[in-house]
Amino acid sequence: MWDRLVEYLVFIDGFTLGLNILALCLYVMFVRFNTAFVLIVASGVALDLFHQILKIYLKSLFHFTEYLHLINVAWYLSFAITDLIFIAAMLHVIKTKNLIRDRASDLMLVGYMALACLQVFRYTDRIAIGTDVLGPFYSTGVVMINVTVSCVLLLHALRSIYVTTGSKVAWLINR
Amino acid sequence: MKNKIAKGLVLVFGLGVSGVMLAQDVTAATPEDDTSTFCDLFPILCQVTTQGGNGGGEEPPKPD
Repeated sequence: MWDRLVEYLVFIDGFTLGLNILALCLYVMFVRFNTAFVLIVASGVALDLFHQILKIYLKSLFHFTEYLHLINVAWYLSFAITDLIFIAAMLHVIKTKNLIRDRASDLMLVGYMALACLQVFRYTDRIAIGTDVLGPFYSTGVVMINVTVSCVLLLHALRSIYVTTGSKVAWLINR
Repeated sequence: MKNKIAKGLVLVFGLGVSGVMLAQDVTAATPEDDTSTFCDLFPILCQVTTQGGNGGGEEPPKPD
């Protein structure tokens, strides 16, 4: 049962970037442009693309076995640091630009904070201490958080469209 | 007017990009096996089997 669920999550994780872009486009087209949601999702898509390029680059270095320790450090900590920079930058811009916040964008930031913590925990577990017990928790946790964030963003975009277009229809009827 | 142009651009590019990304064949073992439009347009991104950030749950080999 659990293995089947993980299989489904991994399958959906194959499309999370596409789902995030879809949620962003739908929201911009039908709802509003200058909100925290648009800023966070657009920046999150850029961060995910950066993570993909970073992952491809680091994977290309795996055959340098003498530098595997350094590659492991770069793998966990670069993801964690970029996540933390992303969160700090988003909170700063939202505050300075006084953008409207919502629960979905807050949840995305919480998700990235959880991912950063997960990377640091796994680095401590696997490299710093060497206990290596968090492997399954790490691989499932990253996928689960990615999929949850993407689903919440898409649902929030669809709900916002429903609310916005619904109120417009009601306004037209009551005219 | 500018707003409408921006929304039009989002419609054309955004939905197009998300469409081809959702059409990626994630079951393909190698980029050469994936014949979807996604891999024609984004060959670099097609080298990974997941689109999720933070490494998608993968890990490097453990150092000795």
